[in-house]
Amino acid sequence: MIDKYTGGMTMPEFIAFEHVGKTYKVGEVEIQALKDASFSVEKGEICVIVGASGAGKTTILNILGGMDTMSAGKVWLDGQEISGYDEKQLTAYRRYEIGFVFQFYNLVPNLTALENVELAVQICKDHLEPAQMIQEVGLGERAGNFPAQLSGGEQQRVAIARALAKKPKLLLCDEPTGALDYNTGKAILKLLQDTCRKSGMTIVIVTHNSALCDMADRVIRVKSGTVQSVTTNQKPVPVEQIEW
Amino acid sequence: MRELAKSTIREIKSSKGRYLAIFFIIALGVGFFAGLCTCRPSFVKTAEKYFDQQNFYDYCLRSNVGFGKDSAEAFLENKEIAAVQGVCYEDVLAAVDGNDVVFRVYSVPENINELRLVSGRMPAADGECVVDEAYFKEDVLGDTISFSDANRESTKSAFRHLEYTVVGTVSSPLYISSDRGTTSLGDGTIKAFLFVKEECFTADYYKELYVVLKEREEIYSEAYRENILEKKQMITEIGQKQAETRIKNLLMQSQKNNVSSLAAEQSNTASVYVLTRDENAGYASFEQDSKIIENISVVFPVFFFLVAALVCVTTMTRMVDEQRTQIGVWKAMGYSKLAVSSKYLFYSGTAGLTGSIIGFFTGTFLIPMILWYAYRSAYDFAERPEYIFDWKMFLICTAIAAFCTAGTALFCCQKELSEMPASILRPRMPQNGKRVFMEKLKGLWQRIGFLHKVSLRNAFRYKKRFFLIVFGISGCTALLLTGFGIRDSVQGVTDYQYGEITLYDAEVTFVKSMEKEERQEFLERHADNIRETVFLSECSVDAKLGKRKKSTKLVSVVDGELENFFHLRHNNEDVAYPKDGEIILCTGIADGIGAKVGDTIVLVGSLFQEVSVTVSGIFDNYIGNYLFVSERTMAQLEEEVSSAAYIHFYKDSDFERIKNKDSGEESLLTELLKDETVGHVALSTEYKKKVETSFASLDLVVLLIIVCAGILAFIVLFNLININIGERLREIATLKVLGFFSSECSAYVFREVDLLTVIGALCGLVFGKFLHSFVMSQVSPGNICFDERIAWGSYIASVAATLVFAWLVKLAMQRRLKEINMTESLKSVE
Repeated sequence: MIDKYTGGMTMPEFIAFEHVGKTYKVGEVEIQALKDASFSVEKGEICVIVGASGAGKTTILNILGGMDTMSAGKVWLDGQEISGYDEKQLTAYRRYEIGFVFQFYNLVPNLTALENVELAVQICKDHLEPAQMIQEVGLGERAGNFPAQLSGGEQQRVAIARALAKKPKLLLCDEPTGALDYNTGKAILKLLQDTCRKSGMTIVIVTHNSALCDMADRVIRVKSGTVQSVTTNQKPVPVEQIEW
Repeated sequence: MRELAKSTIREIKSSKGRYLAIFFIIALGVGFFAGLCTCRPSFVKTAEKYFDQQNFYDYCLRSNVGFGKDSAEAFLENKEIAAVQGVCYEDVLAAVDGNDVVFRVYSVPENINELRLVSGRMPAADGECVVDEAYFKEDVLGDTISFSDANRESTKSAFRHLEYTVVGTVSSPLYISSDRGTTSLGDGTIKAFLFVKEECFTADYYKELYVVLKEREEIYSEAYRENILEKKQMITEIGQKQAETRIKNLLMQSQKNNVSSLAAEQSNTASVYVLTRDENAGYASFEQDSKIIENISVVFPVFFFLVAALVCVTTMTRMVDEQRTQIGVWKAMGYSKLAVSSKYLFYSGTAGLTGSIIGFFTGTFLIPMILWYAYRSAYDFAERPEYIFDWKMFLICTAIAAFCTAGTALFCCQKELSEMPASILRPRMPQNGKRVFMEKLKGLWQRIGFLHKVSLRNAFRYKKRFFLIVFGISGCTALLLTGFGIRDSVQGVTDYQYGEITLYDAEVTFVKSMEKEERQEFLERHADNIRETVFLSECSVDAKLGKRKKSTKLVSVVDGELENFFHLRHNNEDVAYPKDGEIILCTGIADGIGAKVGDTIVLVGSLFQEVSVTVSGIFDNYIGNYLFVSERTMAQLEEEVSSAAYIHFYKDSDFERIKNKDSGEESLLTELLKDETVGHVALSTEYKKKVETSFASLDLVVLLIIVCAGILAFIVLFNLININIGERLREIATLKVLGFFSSECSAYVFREVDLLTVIGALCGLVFGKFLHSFVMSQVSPGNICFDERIAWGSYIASVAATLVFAWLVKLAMQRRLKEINMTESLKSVE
């Protein structure tokens, strides 16, 4: 186990979590979802956060994605401290810095594949061409189809195109293969891995499937709301060779 | 089963907004329906209570010789008659603040048409009187009213005293409306009534006899009318006998005193008139006015119930949709179809039932109360209406409410329930996106902004929702337009009638038919005051076309040109005065008998003599009904005619003198009335005022409609947006994750609502125009045709008010949107 966390004022790391804690209040009961979590991720890495359900990985994702506030600690992304952001700043942060891929794709049912990508770039100043993005995820022929007319894998491709078109600093993926079959899941992971290698995009994948650890540059294991270990893979395996 | 019950109760707690939406729309529908339906029975009961208390008459008898003071006994011999009351009365001029006004002075009745003391006490001595509480204020107590010197000698000699001290103010059941009747004295209108002791009258006979029957049917009912009609003959016979007895007595007296009694000589034959309650202005107009509400009460509630049903359908569909998985779980655990659906039955059923109960009681209490308050400006005989809680009505309302709520719930969950548990448990396929018709217009579609495209697709995608909002909002706009339109129409009537149709200053009715020389003499006598005159002859006829018949006034011009007095026109085109054998009809009569230009109609006179005439034109007229024919056609009918004239006074200064009697000069009016040939003078300005006051109560009805429209819009929009947001939680949460600011988020969601609101409002204008003309045709009181024009301002105001209501709802729903948690986007599809 190598602790990459260095502390101090200089932050060469792209993502840094510093003693982050999160407590929910449900009625009278306080639930500690995350305790003293610290780790960092470097630019251009594929990072897999793995753990069982309820381990706290989604809480990390929410905080990193600017969807939730933290109760303690600090978070940096590319030198910016997110932990101090108010609601409006968080919205802007999600808007310009983060790309999000959901387990259930979350495409707007009433928009075609192309339009779903357009929806995201509508609100961005600097973005990629939606039609080109659709082409790049291999759906050029199906750009005019509605989500209901696409398979799960195709829908997830649209979701990835939608996230990437915004030119985010960070791509967050929540169980991206969770709702897909084995082969389709692998194809999606390959798309993510290729994107990362080609464009140098930093990708954080949250999953309960530890088989994905092999494809990552960095693996963060969480359990019962704490970070158990942070490891780096010197030689990540191409997705094609992973099996589960 | 206990768990299912618990789950149901928790369901209600966790979706208060939805539960309340069903509750309120049912409460509103039932309340409005029951409230409006109960108004007429409630008001009739109020009137009945009052009339019973005051022992209101059933028959009023008059004869040309009056009735002897002992006539009562003869009536009371008849077992069907409960009470008889003779009264003396006289119209007198009395000075009030230096001006002579006309009062009708009655003898105080003992047991029929009893007075209600408002302040002070009843007269105890000869020189005392009680007065009309509507005309006099309380501080009149102790004042002295003296009859004017200008009274005729015969009037003065009818009283023992010419001065009376006011000891009390009273109201009389003979005058429940503000109408105090007309007279041949003064300006022709009676201002107030006075009651003095019978001994104050010098006459040894009664002018009128009032009779009350023992049998009392409900007032205004068919049974009452039939009973009265049945016994009218009997009453007439007794009256006839009494009048004949009086003539005999008079003759005997005059022979004894060897003085020629004028009354006895003039009338060797007694003629008796028997009037019923329907001839009492207040009694009759109260019935007319209460019918107006009854007519309105049919239209509006039907509409509210339709919206209620739609709200229930959409709400329950959404709820069952949301709970698809839950239904699957219940079924998988082995609960029966009935058990599972009972949850939804209970949910919607209780909302509907409580809504119905609360709505019913609030409605039957609140609406009569509000409308009675409006009525009190015209009929001030009771503080509050008699409330009626009709159990049959309650059951009907509750049955309809149950059908709308529980029925739709059952209908909505049928589909889900008939599926296998396994297939319900599987997440449903995402709903298919659809292109809208506008996308076919490539050029147009490409110009529309991206986010607007989304809104357009959403707006047209869900048929049920589209229909609900367009229907609900159009209903709101239609109600508003009707409300504003009623005001326009009513205001339009008087303005149009007195500004553009009847142009004369006054209408003079002569006591007899005037020959050419007499007309000339009349004009010469009043040459100082009258600028212009047209002489007419008039009579009453029935206009008949096929089986439809209407009684009306037939008028022909005898001398002069009608043009400057009565503007004959239709649809902005002048209508020519009819030639011989032709007739022109006012719109009211034309609509009433269904006559068109070119039709041949039959005029029927009082002795059933008939004349056929061709309709050569139809002219606009709103107040009163007239037919115009040529003088020769009039003569063909061989009917006894009376003479009348429309006159213009000299302008400005002279006309001002009428209104401003302080000048000390004799007013034009009294000048005219002094003329022996003149029977009655009606000033257009006075008449206009009278019509306007009778419309005053409509303002509150308009307000009621506007408030209801607001509530309707609120419920429909609230429910719709609530469902819309509920259905799109994931979508909205995703938008938030994508970084939409909250203003962008609400624009994304509400834009389609805006679009549908505007569509609804525009449809509402069309719908409202129909509703308005329907309502106006229903509320039209007999001889008044309403102008169905609606002012442009009202169209704009109704749309604007609708948009404001919608905006308020959006404001309230903004919070709900803010509260949506982004983590919703991470959840699986339900």
